[in-house]
Formats: sequence, structure tokens, C-alpha cells
Amino acid sequence: MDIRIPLTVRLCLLIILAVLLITFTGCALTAKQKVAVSQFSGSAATLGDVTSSQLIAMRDNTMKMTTERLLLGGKSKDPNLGDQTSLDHGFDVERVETISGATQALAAYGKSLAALVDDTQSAELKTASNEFVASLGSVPTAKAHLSDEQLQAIGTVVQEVGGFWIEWKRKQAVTTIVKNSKDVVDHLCDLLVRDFDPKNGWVGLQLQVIEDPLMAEATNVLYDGKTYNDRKIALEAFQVAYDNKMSRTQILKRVTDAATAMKKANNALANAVAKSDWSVQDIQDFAQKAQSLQMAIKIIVTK
Amino acid sequence: MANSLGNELSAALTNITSLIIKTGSEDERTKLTQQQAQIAGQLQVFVDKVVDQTLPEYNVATVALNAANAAAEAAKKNLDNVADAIKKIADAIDKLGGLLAKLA
Repeated sequence: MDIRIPLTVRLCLLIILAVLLITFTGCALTAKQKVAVSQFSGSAATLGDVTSSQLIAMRDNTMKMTTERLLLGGKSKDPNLGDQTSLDHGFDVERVETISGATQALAAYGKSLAALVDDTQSAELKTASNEFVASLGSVPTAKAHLSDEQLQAIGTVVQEVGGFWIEWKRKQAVTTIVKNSKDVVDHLCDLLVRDFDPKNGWVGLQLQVIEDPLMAEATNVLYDGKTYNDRKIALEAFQVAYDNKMSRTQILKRVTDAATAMKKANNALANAVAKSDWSVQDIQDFAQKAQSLQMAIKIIVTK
Repeated sequence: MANSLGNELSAALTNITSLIIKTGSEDERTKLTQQQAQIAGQLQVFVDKVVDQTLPEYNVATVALNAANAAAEAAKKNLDNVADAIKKIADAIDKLGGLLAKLA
């Protein structure tokens, strides 16, 4: 059986291959775009994970503070405050679960975006193209008409075309997901900024509702205490209240700052992946946006 | 309006807590502690109302983000499938080779 391919068919194949390569080459994410996506997604995962863990810590502190207040002052002095039947009042499971559900989804968004951009396919493609070449070489009629160099060249082409195809699909997916998720990510940033604001947000107010009555009861025990042990018990309660104050003043501010920065970075990211018509002006604009994105991410990571 | 109510209650709570810390008289502190508990209770009611309105917004965001995550995971699987497709072609060629060898 003769499997030689006519010259015209071979020329056609070469032309199709050239067209495919030219088409796909311009349709992949650039290195800068990949860095932008990776930095953004890593920071989104950090913000989501840290906020989730802080909410759980706030619930634990709430239970500690309510317990301490009841130990020091007895029955709650107002029926709307937490008591022995609702030690976690203010950060009950439903609240924490709902908000941390959203922040965990944000973390997962960052992680899945990072996984999409990370190149884990190159090694697999090389293995696949090697298997392809080995299979082709095992066909007796093909082996009779193709040299080892020709077989290797076919393997390289298969790998390259597969690679270009993957990069094209990768860009399509990243661009679509970032574009479609932009509004919801922006909205979640707005919610976090509003609710975690140390002065006006409900999270800070809730922490104060639990902290201040404990401060009062601990002060009463400290001032009225007659023994070392009385004062020791009061000061242990102050320590718990102080830890809460640190959360209220420091952590809330950092979550708010990070969410504000993330909203800016999200906008920069959407622009970065959407721009395919590069011009000098676009490159300059993108350099500024990338710098702005980098600055925003620095705020998220370091604060 | 809602925010200013929360801020006013918060400021009142801060002030009364400061007074409790400054007051030496046990009777005065007892009265102040009772008043503080009432203000804290009002602030708790305020926060509860705010949170009731807030939680559904987080639920909406969670659903939308989970959909984005599912899309990203599906896209990632699609990318991984390219190498699998080439391997399948290689398998087909293997079988074709076997068939050709029999025909030759």
C-alpha cells in the first residue's frame, strides 16, 4: 500500500498549518497578562481566606467575651444582649456561615483563576505528541516513507498546534470569566467595605456591643475587688476585651483597605485581559494599569 | 439615617464606658453599667436589623461567584482535554497500524 501524500495536498496542509499558527499566535495571553491574572488571583485568595478565618475568630472571641461578662456580672442587664443561651449572639453560625461563604467563594475564585492561567499542559502535550510519533512510526507503511527526522517534525507540529490551541482557549476562558465576574467581585468588595468599615460597618458595631459591657463589668470587679484573685479575674477579662479591640480597630481596617484595593485591581484586570488591539498608547496605558494593579496587590498582601 | 443612628449609639456606648472607667463611686458605676447595657441592647437591635437586610446580598454574591468558579473549572478541564485528544488519536493510529499490518 502506497501512503505517499501528493505534493499539492502537502502544500495545502502547510498553508493550513501556517494560517492556524498565525491565527493562534495573536490570540494568547501575553506574559504580562498572565502575571497580572496570577497576582490578582493570589491576592483574591488571600483576602477571601483571611477574612473567612477572621470571622470564625470573631465568633470565638464573642463566646469568650459573653462568658466572661456573665461570670463577672451575672445575668445580662439587658434582654437584647447575649446570655447563657446565646453565647455567640452577634456572630452566630448563620451569620458567620453566610458571610464566610461569600469570602470563601472569593478565595475559590482566585484559586480557580490561578489554576486556569498556570501552564500544566505543556508536559502533558509533549508526552502526548511523543506517543503520537511513536504510534505513527509503528505503522509499517508510514515508517517506510517517513524518516526519523520527519516523524519528529510531525511530533513538534502536533505539540505546537496543540499548544497554540490551548493558549487560545485559555485566553478565551480567562477573558470571559474575568469579564462575567467583574460585577459580582466589585459588588462583594463594596459589601466588605461597607460592613467591615471600622467606624460605620455593622461588624465593628457588633464587636463593640459585646466588648463595652464586658469592659464595664471587668472595671467594676477591678475597682471593687478586695483580693489579688479578684483583680486577676478582672484583668483576664480585660485581656479578652483588648484582643477584641485589636480586631475591631486593626483587622477591620485592613480588610476594608484590601477590599477597596481589590475593587481597583479588578477593574485593572478586566482591562488588562480585554485589550487585544495593542497600540503604543494601549501599552502605555496598560503599564500604568499594571503598576496600579501591582500597588493595589501590595496593599492587599502587606497590610 | 440608619448609619447615623448606629453611630450615635456607638458614640454613646463609648462615652458611657469611659465614664464607668473614670467613676470611683460604686453606686454611680452601678447606674452607669445599667444604662450602658440598655444602650448596648439598643445597638444590638439596630445591628440585627442591618444584618437581616445584608445577609441576602452575600447569598447572591456567593451564588454568582460559585458559578464563575464552576465555569473556570470546566474551562480548565477543557484545556487538559487537548493532550487527551492527541493521545486518543495516537491510540487510533496504533490500531490502524495493526490493521494495515494484517492487510499487507
